[in-house]
Amino acid sequence: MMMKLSYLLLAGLTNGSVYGLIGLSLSIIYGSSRVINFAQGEFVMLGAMTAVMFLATLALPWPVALVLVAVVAIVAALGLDHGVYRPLVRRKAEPLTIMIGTLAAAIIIYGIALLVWGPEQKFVPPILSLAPIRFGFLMTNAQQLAIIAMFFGFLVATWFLLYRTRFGLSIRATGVNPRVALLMGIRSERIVQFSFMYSAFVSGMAGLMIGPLLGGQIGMGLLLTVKGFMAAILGGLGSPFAAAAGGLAIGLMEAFMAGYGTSLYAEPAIFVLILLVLIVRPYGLLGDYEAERR
Amino acid sequence: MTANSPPRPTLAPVIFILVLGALLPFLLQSGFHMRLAMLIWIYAILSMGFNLLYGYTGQISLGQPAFYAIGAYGFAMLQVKLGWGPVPSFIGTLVVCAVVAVLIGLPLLRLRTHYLAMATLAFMLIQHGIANRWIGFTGGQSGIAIVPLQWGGETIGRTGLYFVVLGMAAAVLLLHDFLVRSHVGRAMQAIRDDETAAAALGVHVVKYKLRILVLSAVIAGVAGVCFTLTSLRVDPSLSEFHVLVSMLTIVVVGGLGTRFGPILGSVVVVLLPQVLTGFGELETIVYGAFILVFLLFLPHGLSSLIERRDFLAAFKARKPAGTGKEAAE
Amino acid sequence: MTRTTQTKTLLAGTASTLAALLIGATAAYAEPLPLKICHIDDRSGSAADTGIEGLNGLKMVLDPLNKAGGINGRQIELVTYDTKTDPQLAATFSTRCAEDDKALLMIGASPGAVAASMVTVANQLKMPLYVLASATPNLTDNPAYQFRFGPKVTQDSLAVADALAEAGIKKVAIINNSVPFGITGAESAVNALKPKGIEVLTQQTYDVAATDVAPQIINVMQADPEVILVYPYPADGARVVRTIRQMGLTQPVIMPRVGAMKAFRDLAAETGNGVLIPSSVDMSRPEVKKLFDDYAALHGPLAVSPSPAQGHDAGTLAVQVLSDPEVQKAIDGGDLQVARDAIVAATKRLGRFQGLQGRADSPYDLTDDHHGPADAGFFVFIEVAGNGSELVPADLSKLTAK
Repeated sequence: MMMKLSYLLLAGLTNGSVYGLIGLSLSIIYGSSRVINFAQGEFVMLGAMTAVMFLATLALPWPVALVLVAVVAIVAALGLDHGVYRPLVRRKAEPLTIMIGTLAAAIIIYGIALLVWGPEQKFVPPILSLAPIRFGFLMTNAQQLAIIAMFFGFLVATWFLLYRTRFGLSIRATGVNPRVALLMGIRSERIVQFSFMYSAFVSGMAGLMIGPLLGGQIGMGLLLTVKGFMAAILGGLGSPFAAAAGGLAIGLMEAFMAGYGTSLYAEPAIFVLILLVLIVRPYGLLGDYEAERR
Repeated sequence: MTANSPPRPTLAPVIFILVLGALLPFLLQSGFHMRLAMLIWIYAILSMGFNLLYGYTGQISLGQPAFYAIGAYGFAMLQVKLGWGPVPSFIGTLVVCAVVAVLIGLPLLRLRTHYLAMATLAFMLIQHGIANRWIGFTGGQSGIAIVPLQWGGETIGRTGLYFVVLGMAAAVLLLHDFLVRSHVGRAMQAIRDDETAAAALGVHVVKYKLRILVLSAVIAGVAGVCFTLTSLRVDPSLSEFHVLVSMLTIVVVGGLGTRFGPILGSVVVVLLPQVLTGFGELETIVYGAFILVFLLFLPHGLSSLIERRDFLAAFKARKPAGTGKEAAE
Repeated sequence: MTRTTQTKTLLAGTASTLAALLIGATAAYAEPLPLKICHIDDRSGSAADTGIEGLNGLKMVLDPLNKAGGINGRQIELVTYDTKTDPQLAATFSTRCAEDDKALLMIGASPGAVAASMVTVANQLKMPLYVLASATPNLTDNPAYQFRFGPKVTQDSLAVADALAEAGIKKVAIINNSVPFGITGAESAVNALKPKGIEVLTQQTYDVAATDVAPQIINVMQADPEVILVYPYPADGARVVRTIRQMGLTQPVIMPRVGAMKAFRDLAAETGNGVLIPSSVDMSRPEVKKLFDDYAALHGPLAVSPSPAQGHDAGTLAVQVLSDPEVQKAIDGGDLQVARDAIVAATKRLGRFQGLQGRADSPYDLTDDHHGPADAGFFVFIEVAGNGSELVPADLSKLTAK
C-alpha cells in the first residue's frame, strides 16, 4: 500500500512538473502582457522537434543542441512578439483579441512544422539515460528526475529574477500597470519582449526534456497548451508560482484518480474539479494576489 | 439613443440578406454549392450567438462548441433513443441547452475575462471527453446516425432542407438584429464597456449576462440541430478545436460586435478551405496567416468596410466616428 | 488540389490506341465519362501518416498504369483533397468530389470520424467509396456504397482473442491511452474477449500528455494478469512497455498496430523485445515484401504498416473494376449514376480477391453484405526483436496460462 502511494506521488510529481513548467511559462507572459498565449504548447513542440533535428538528424553533441534548441524557441518568441503582440497592441486590440492572434500564430507554427518535419511521431533521443534508477522500492529514471529538477530549477530562477533583481521589479511593475510603469521610466515593450523570450526558453527546454518520453509530434502543442491553461487557472494566472502549483496539483490529481478511481474518466473529472474550484475561488486557488489588484 | 450614437439602422440590409439567401438555390447549380451555402448559414448561426455574448456583451465563452454539440446530440438522441419526432426533439434539445447553460452560467459568470474563457474551455473539454468515452450512451467515435427529415412521408430534398436551415438562420438573424438595436443591446454594450458603470446606470448586470449566455447557448444548439439535419449524424468532432477555431476566425474576420460580421465571416471561413486546396502543403500556414492579416489590417473585420457603405447609402449625413465606434471591440 | 494526371504517352501500344479510337467512335453520341477518382483523406492532421501512406500506395498502382497508357488508352485522373481530421470538411470535399468533380469513385477516409461522415455522404449521393485505414467497427454494418479495406479494430481484437483462447489464457489486463484510438480499441477488446470466456481484470486509461504512467502499471501489477494488452500511440506505447518491464512485470505484451511502428520500437529499445503484434500485412509473402521495398525506393524507408498495402489493394481493385466490360459500357454511356452503380456491382463481383494485405490464403471479401476483409484468418502475429531494429514472425508459445 505504501508502495502504491509513493509511486502515485512520484508520478504525480513528474507529470505535474511538466504541466507546471507550461503553466509557469504561460503565466510569465500573462504577467507582463495580460495575454493568454495559445502558442505556448507550440514552443514545447518546437523544443522537442528541434531536438530531433539537432540530436538525431544532425547528430550534434548535446550541449550544442541544447543551445540551438533554445535559440529556435527564442526566435519563435521574438516572432510572436514582433509579428503578433506588438502590432496588435499598437492597434489598441483587447487582450482577448490578442489571444486570438496567438491562436493564429499557433496555426502558422504548426503549418511550418508540418512542412519541416512531416506528420509522423518522431523518436526524440534522450539526453539522459532511460535506464531504471531505484530508491528502495521506488523506481524512476534519470530523464524523469531531470524534469522534476528542471521544474524546481526554473521555479527558483524565476523567483530570483522577479524578486531579487531590479529588472524583475520592472517586470512586476509592468504587470500591475503598464502605463504607470511607462511613466516611471520602464520601457514596457522591452519587458514584454523579455518575458516572451524567457517563457519560450522555459517551454523549449521542457520540450527538449519531455520529448524522449512523450515522443515528438507536431500536433503535441495543443494538448500541452490546454494542460498549461488548466494548470494556470487552477493555481492562478497572475503569479507564475501559483500557475506552477496548479500544474503540480493537476499531475497529482491525475495520478490519484488513476490509482484509486477511474482512469478512463480522469481527465473530464479533473476539469470538473477545476470548475468547482473556480466557483469557490474565481481567481484560482492561490489567486489572492490578482484578486486584490482588481 | 444618445446624440453620439450612430443613426438608427434599418431592417433593409437584413431583408436584403434574407432575400439573397432565398434566391440562392435558384442561382446555384450543384448540390455541392448548396451544401456550402447551408454550412455558411450553420456557422453564421453559431457565430451570431457568440457575437451576442462576446461581441456585444463582452463575456467570452470558448464553450460554444460544446453547446453546438449538445444541441446536435440532443436532437439525434431524442429521435433515436426516445423515438421523438423531429419537432419535439428540436424543442427538447433547445431546452436541454438552456438548462445546461443556466447550470454552467450561474457559477461561472462571476469569472472575468481570461478566467471565464478558460473555464468555458474546460466545459467544452468535459463535454468532448464524455462524448468520446461514454460509448454506450453517445456511440463514441462512431457517433449516432439519424434518418433524413421527412415531410408528409417523403424525404425532404436538399433544396427543401436548405430552406429549413435558412428559416432557422433567418429567425436567429432577426432576433440578433432586434436585440442589438433594442434597449437590450445598449444594456449589453454597457456591460461590455464597464460592468460597474452599467450597474450604476441601473442595468441588472448578472441577470443580463445569464440571459445572454443562455440565449447564445440555445442559438449554438440551433446551429447544432441544423448541422445534424444536413450531415445526418453526430459525433465527438462537433466540439473539437477546429470548430472553436472556425468560430473565432469567423467573428474576427467578419467583425466583432457588428450586425452582419458573423454572416460575412462565415462566407469566408466556409469557402476558404475550398479555395486553399490549391496551396497543398502550405494550406495550414496560409490559413493562420490569413487570420493574422485580418487582425492586423482589418481589426473590425469585413463589416467595417461594408456597414459603413451601407449606412452612407441610408443616411447621407453621418458622424465620422459612428460605425467605427459600434464596430470597435 | 493536386491533379496527378499525366499526359497521354506516345508509347501506348498500337492495340490500345486502336481500341481507344474505336471506343471514341462508338461513343461519339454520348460523351464517355472521364476516369476520375478522388482520394479524400487526412494528410496534415493527426492521422496524416496513414493518409499519406495510403495515397502513396494508391499512386504506386495508378502511376505505372497511366504511364503504360491507362485503361483502354484513357488515363485515370486522381483528384486529391486533404480533410485534416475534420469530418465536416471531409463531407464537404466528398460532396465536391461527387457533384462538382463528377468523379466515379472515392478512396480514403482513414480517421474514424472522417470515415463515418464520408460513408453518410456516399450513401446519400449514391457514390461508391473505398474506405482505407479506418478501424471503426460499424462502418460496414449496413453496407451499400461503402467498402472497407482496413480491418475493423474488432478484427484485431478477434485475432487477439482467438490467439489467447487457443493458448488457454483466462485473465487479461488492458492499458489504453485517452485518445479515440485507445478508447475504441480497448472497448473492442473487451467485447471480443468476453465471449471467449477471457476475463478483463482491469482496464487502465492514461493521458497521452502524461510522462509517467506508473499509476496505471501499478494497478495492472496488482491485478496480476496473464497477458497485457496495450492500445497506445507510438511514444506513449514505449513509455508503457518500458515501465511495465522496469517494474518487473514479465507477462507477454500485445500491442495491436502501434507495436510495429518505428517510433515505438526506437523509443522502447530493449524493453520492446517480444512485444506481439497482430498484423494485417504478412512480410513473409514475397509480393508484400516487394511492395515495401518498392515503397522504400520511392518514398524512403517505412516500417511495417497496413496503409500502403490498403492503398495499393484499393487501387488494384479500382483498376480492375474500371476495366470491367460492364463498367466500361456504363462509362461510355455517359450517365454518371449508371456508371457508379456499375462500379458498386463490379466491386461486389470482383471483390473476392487476394490482395497484399492479409495472409496468403485469406482474400478480401467485398461481396454481398460483407464489404470488408475476411473476419477470420486475416492476421499474422509478428514480434519486435533486436532491441527494436526488426520485426520477426511471432513465437506464440510464450502465451501460456499461469
